[in-house]
Amino acid sequence: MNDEQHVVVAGVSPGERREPMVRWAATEAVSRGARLRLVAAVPPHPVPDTYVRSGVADLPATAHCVLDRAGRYAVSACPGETLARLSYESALLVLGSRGRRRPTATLFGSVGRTLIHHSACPVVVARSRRS
Amino acid sequence: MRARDVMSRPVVSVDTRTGVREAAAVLAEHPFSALPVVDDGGGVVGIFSESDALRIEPGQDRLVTEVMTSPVEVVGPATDVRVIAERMLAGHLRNLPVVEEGLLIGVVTKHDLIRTVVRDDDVVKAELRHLLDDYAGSRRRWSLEVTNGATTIEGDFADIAERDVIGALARTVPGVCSVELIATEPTPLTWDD
Repeated sequence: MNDEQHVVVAGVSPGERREPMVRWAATEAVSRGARLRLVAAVPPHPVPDTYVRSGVADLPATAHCVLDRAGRYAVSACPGETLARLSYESALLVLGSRGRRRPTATLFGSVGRTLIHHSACPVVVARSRRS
Repeated sequence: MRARDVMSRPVVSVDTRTGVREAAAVLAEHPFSALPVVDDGGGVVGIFSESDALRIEPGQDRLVTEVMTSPVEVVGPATDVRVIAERMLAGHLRNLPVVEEGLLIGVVTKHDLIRTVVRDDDVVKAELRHLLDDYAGSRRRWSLEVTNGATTIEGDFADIAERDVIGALARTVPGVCSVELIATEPTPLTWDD
């Protein structure tokens, strides 16, 4: 259905520093000419507008266009599994760092751990500058 | 217009313990092309479509969860119908479950969207009249004609810019397919005495 080369998936978490991840994912989708899919890594789903709209006002119009059209997915009990399934039809998975103190805890949180083992496509962790 | 204004309700859905055979029977009885599959908490875990129903081999039954499409793309109740239309086209989707706080509350189908495009001419005309009155005040009136969405606006336009503004305004009204603007000579002021 979807050409997997043209889909970027972002796992959005309601943690405090999600902006860098949304920004990075939208910009990357623009440069690839790809469609963006948003998955809430933690309920509520679908990803609320407030998660997507905060801190992206200065992005170019093309990135906003990608964000407007981004598909939003329902999470089942396990978001890691949802993201892993989407990885089979995607070019790239983008995860946020969730702003935890220790980078190791960040990178290898439960969702991240599932994905490094089960993702069928490359996984990017977009960390905020401060973390 | 938003998802909550156009979505189909109540939603016919199946749970995760439903067999493909039973789900296919539900599909056959209803005018929907797909059924959301919900877990015990009311969350959407997938969607079971007509093509999924065809995957079952004769004499065999499986759970819907084994053949459904998962994860499923969803929208919130406040999502604009134009955004929904774009997502449906981009993702080749025929249905989008509407989810609020994780719970399934409705489904928007292509049919629901088509209904918003094809609107009653009188409704369209009334909305356009309202819009033009807002623009010019009720003292200046243009005559309006709407036939199957084809809209004709006739009257006196101050200049080309105003003509363009009125044309653009008219095209924002859902249900307006085309706009024709006919300029007539301004009516000379007369006094009854």
